[in-house]
Amino acid sequence: MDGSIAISLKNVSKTFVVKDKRSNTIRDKVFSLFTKQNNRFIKAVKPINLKIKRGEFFGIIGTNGSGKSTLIQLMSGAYVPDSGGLVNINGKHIRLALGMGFNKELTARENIYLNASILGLTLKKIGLVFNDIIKFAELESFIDTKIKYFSSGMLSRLKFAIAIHVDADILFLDEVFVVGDAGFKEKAKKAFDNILTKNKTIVMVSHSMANLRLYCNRILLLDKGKKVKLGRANNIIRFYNKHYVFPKRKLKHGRKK
Amino acid sequence: MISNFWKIITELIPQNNRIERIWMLAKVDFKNRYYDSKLGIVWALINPLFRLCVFYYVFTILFTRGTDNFVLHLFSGLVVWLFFVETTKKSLTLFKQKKYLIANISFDKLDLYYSSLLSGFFGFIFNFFIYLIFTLFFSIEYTWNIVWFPFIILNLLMICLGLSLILSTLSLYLRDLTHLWDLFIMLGFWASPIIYSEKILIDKAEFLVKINPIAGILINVRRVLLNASEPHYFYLIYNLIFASLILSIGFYLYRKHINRAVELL
Repeated sequence: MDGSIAISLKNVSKTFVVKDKRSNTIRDKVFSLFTKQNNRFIKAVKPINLKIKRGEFFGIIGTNGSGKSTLIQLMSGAYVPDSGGLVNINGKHIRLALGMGFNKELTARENIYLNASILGLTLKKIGLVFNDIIKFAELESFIDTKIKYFSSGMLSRLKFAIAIHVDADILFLDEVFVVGDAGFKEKAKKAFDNILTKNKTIVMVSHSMANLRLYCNRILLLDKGKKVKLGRANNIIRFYNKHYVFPKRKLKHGRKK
Repeated sequence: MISNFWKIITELIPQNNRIERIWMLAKVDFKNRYYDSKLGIVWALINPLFRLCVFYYVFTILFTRGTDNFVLHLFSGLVVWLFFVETTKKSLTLFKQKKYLIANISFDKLDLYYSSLLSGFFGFIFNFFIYLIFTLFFSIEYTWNIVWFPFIILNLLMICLGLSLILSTLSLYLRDLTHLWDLFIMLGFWASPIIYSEKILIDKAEFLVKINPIAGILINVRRVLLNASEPHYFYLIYNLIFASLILSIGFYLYRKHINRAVELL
């Protein structure tokens, strides 16, 4: 595999089987031998080919239910693609999603150590970046507080701070907005730039056009699990606004008349 | 030559933090389990002690069947048995409890099993330490046969790891496996020489030792720790083969299904 490619998807698709009757107990498994099952198949992601380079900030955009998150889960290996699909991921990765990645019963310090250790950092190395993480997240006075007492803003900041400090090769930002005040956003932008110059990769799913325009090099537009367009950020955002956002507004306008 | 060798070793250690990671996961696991309780780790001891009192009362005072050193016989059996029960039961909810890690970070999921086993082992060591203190009140004779003890415990760990792998994988597909496993545990308790002696088991129902590896392990633990005699070599080897078989089945199932874990949860 080419060294300059971080993630490559070949003919990757994902179909979810939705059973009308769930049968994941022993009792149901036995009974389901005698009854007919009505399975529905939902094609969340249709066959897609994609290559994301190292050092790239890649965005994924689309309306609700267009398969953005599923695609990220496929990239990160959380989901297995349908047979015939091939996902190649080059390096260690961490996914940031709402409300995930932390153990609520642990303190901020313990969560930082746990996350970083699982990503492959030695205790010594974690000790070196620990203060940076805390400072970045602006949580100096809550180091030994259990994170179940944290506000959602504090959690997002902490999560974000860990993710950019732990030397992951690929960062998945799943609908995680860069939260915080203007100062924090400025810091985040700098941190992103810093990561990208280190030849690392960021993949972001977002509904925030402002964020996508600000950060992304390339954007993939998905519609009902299908790849519609892939190209430079500005072009795609313009296309998206024209065909997916504004038609609705025009309709509203028309009704008023 | 030596300096080269040393260089290789020092280069290996800091790069691979696997041992550190397993240690940390185990610590977190252990802390979570006994977190915030005033008694802390003592809870790990209360379970075997409580059972010990109940069984002792029933079998020495109500049935008057107690043998020599019945307390120690019971204590050693319970410590081993409860370790087995705890680790296998925990494996049934392993994926659910560690989902926040599995779903978001790339790492070798086997570390979760090792750490889970290790955190259970902390409790085992603590209990065993109490057992050793307990034995000071009795006149127990120790011989060189005690060197077998670590091997027997290693054998026990192999069985626990293998069953953990099998059970956790099956639990992805069968949500109510917990109830079935509870029945198995109840069955296993009476099929192992925990309360009664090995002699009764071997004389009257030897097939139980063949199909229940914990029975053989208990027999050998008692022999080398309590009776100052040689281990039962046949069961020692038999159990090692048995454990290897369970472990290979476990690894096979694990490798085949681990990729789907997040999806199935």
